[in-house]
Amino acid sequence: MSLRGALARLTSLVVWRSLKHTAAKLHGFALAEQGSAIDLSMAAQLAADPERAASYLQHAMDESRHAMMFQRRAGELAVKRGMPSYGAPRADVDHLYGMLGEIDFLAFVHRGERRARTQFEVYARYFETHDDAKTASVFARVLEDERRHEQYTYEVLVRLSGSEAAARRALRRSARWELRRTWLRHGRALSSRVFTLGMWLLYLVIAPFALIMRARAPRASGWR
Amino acid sequence: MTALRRLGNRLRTIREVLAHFASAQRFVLIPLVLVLLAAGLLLMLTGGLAYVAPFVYALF
Amino acid sequence: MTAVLGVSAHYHDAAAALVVDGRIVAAQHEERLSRIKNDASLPRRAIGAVLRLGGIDAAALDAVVFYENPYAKLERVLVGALRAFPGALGQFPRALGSQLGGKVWVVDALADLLDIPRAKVELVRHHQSHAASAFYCSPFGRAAVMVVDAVGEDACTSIWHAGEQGLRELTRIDYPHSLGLFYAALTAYLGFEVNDGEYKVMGLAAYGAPTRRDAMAKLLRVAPDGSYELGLDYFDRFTRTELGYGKRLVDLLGAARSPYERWDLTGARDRAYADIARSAQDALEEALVAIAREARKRTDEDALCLAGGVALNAVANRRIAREAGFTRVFVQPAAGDAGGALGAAILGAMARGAARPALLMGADLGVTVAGAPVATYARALGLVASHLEDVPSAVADALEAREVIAWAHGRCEWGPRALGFRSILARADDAEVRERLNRAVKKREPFRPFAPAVLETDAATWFAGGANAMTPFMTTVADVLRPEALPAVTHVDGTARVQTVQPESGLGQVLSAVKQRGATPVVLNTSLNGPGEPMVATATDALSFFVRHGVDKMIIDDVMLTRPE
Repeated sequence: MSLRGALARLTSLVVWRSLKHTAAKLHGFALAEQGSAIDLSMAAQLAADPERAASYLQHAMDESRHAMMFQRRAGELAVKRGMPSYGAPRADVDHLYGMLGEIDFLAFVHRGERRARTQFEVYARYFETHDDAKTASVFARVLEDERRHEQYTYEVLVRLSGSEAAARRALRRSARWELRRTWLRHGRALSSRVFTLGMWLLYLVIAPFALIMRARAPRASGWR
Repeated sequence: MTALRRLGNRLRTIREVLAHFASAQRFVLIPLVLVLLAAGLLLMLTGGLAYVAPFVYALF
Repeated sequence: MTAVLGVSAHYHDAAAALVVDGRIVAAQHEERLSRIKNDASLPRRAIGAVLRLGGIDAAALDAVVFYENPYAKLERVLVGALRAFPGALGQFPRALGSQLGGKVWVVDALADLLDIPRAKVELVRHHQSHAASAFYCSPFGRAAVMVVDAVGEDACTSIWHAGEQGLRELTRIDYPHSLGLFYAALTAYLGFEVNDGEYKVMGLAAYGAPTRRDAMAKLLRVAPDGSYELGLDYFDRFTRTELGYGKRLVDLLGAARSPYERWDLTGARDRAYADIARSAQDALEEALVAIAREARKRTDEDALCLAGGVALNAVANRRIAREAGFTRVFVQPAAGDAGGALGAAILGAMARGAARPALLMGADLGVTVAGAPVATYARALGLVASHLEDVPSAVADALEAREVIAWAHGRCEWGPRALGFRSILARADDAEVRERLNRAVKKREPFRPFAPAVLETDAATWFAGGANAMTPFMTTVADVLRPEALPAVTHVDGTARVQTVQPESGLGQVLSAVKQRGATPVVLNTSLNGPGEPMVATATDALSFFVRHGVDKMIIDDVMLTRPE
C-alpha cells in the first residue's frame, strides 16, 4: 500500500463523515473530472497525431461520463439530506496541453490518474464496508477506466519521450511543476484574502465619499 | 524593452481612467480611484486574483 | 486594405469579429472554442480563429475595437457601491477585485495579446456597438434602432436613428432601470440560471395566464412615452447580487421556485409559477412595444432594428413587429453581448472610410469543420465512417427513415441559434420525436419547444405571415397554420420559432430533397450540443458529441458516422 493510499484511508473518516460532506466531495470529484474532460478534448484538437488525438478524445469522454456519475450520486445524496441537488458540473479549466506541451501534459495526466486510482481504490472499499453500495459502485466503475488511463498515458509517454528514463524525468518534472502550482495557488488564495480585507477596510474608510454620493440625488428615471 | 512598454501601457490606462473620472465630473472620486488603481496594479503584478465570482448576473 | 478586429469580453459571452475592407470576414464566439459555456474571458481563441480565417496577421490590423468603455463601467460600479453604502460591503471586494484585477486593463491586455501598439486599441460604447451590429447587418437603408439589454456602461435602453449619416443616439434610460435586469431577476426567481434560462421563462409563459399583472405593475411601471421605471425596492441589487431579486419580491410573489425540483405543469404549484412567467413576459412585451412606438414617433422611420440581450426574446419581437407601427423589423442573430464584437468591428472599419458591409445573408461566420481527419478518429473510437457523395440526400434519407441526425458542415454559427450548420435535425411531423430528443440529448424541461426550419418559398404555406426580415435568423415566432401536421415543433400556444432557409444553402438543399420525396417540407432544427455545453464547433467536438449522445447518425462535412451494429 502506497503512502497516498494509506493517507486516503486515514482521511476517509473525515472526508466522508456526513452525507453533506460526502455529497460535497463527490461534487468536487465531478468538477475535477469535468475539467479534465475539457482539457483532454482540447488536447485532442491540438495533438498532431490522429491516433493519439483519438485516444485523448476517448479519454475525455470517459472523464465526462465520470463527471456525470459523480454528479448524479452527489445530487442523490444531497437531496436525501434535504439539500438542493447540484446542476451540471461547471469546472475550472487550465488548458494545460497548450501550456505544457504534449509530453509534460501526458506526465501530468498520468500522475493525476495514478493519484485518483489509489484514492478511489480506498474509497470504493470504504463505501462497500459502510453499507453504501451505490457510491461504492460509482467508484468501482470509475476505477476500471482510471486503471486503463493510467496505463495508456504511461505507454504513450514512454513512446513519445523516447525511453523509460526520459519518461520518469518527465514525471519528476511534472511533480515539481505541480508543487510550484500548489504553492502559487495558496499564495494567490492568501493574497485574495488580504485584498478582501483591504477592500473592506477601504469601503468603511470611504464613508464620507459615500455620504456625498448619497446626498446627490440619483438621476431621475425616464428618457434622458 | 517589452516590459518597459507594458509598464508604459499600464500608466496610460491609469491616465485614461483618471481622465474619464474627471470628464464625468466625478472629481471627488479621483483620490479613491488612485488608491484602487494602485491596488489593482499590484494585483496584476502579483499574478491576479483567484476570484471566480459566482455572480448571478455579471454586473461588475 | 483596412482590417479591423472587434472584441467583446469580460461580462457574458466573449467573441471576436473581423471586418476587412468593409466585408464581414469572420465572427466567432469564444465558448465554442474554449468549450466553456458562455465563456466571458478575453477571447484569445476566437481572436486567433478570426485572424486565421481572414488570413490576416495581427500586425496588419488597422485597429482593434473593444465593444464598451471599461472606465465608465468602473465608474458605475464604484458609484453604485457608494450609493448603497454600507449595504454593498459584502460585494465590494469582489466587484472591485474583478474590475481592478482585469477588466480595467483590457486595452493593455489586447495590445499585449496581439503584440500591437496600445494606440491601435480603441473603445466604443456598449449600446453603440449593439446598435451598429443591428443596423449595419440589416437590409435597411434607414431605420430606427432600439437597444435593450441588462446594462452597458450606464444605458439599459436606448433609441437610435440610423441612416447614411451614421448612428445617432436620440435618448436612453440609464441603470438601474433595466428591462434586462427585470427579466433576469424573474428568471432567477423561477429557478433558472440567469443569462441562460431566459428562454425557459419565455417558453414557460405560454403555459400560464397573466394573473399577476398587478404584481408586475409594482415591479415595472411604463409611462405613456415608453419610458419605464423599475420598483427598485424589489430588486436588491447590491446586497443580494447572488439572487438578483430582493426579499420584497418574494413577499410580493411568494416563495421563489427551487431550481432542483422537477417541473410538473399539471400541479397547481408550477402552474402558479407559469402564471408569473406569463405575467412577466406580458409586462416585458408591453414595455418593449411602448418603447418601439416612441422610437417610431421620434424617428418617423418604417423599419426597426433591435439589439441587446432582450432582443433575443423571439415572442416579444413578434409583438413589436405587430403592434409598434413599423412595417419591417430586423434582429441581428447575435443580439446579445457577443454581437457587440461585430458592431465594434464595423464601427472601426467605417470610421476608417470603409463602406457599409453587404447585407448579412447567413450566420455561418465562424470556424470551418473539416471531414478529412474524421475517418481516422472514427476508427479509433470504434465508429463506422463512410464518405458521402451527396450529403443533402443522405440527410433527407435519414429523415425519411424517422432518424434523429446530427449534422456539422461549413462554418459554425454566429449567435446562439443553430441555423443549419451545427444542427440536430429530425422530422417536424413526428409527434414522438420531441420526447426522443429530450431523452437522448437535450434533457429539456417539458415546456421548452423545438424550432422548425422551412424553405423561404414554403414558409407562408406552413406559418402565418411567411418569411420576414427576422425569420432567417430565428429571432421571432409565427403561428403554425396546421399545428396537427407539425406536432414536434408547435408550442402549446400554437406558435413556432421558425427559421426560413434559402434553397441554395445546405439546409435548403435538404429541405428541397425532403420535399421532392413528398414528405412534409419542414424539419425540426435544434442546436448541436448536449445540456449545459456550448454548441459544437470543430470535428472533434462533433465526434465527442456523437459518442456521448444517442442520435442515430452524425454527418461531419462529407463523412457519415454510424455506430457499429
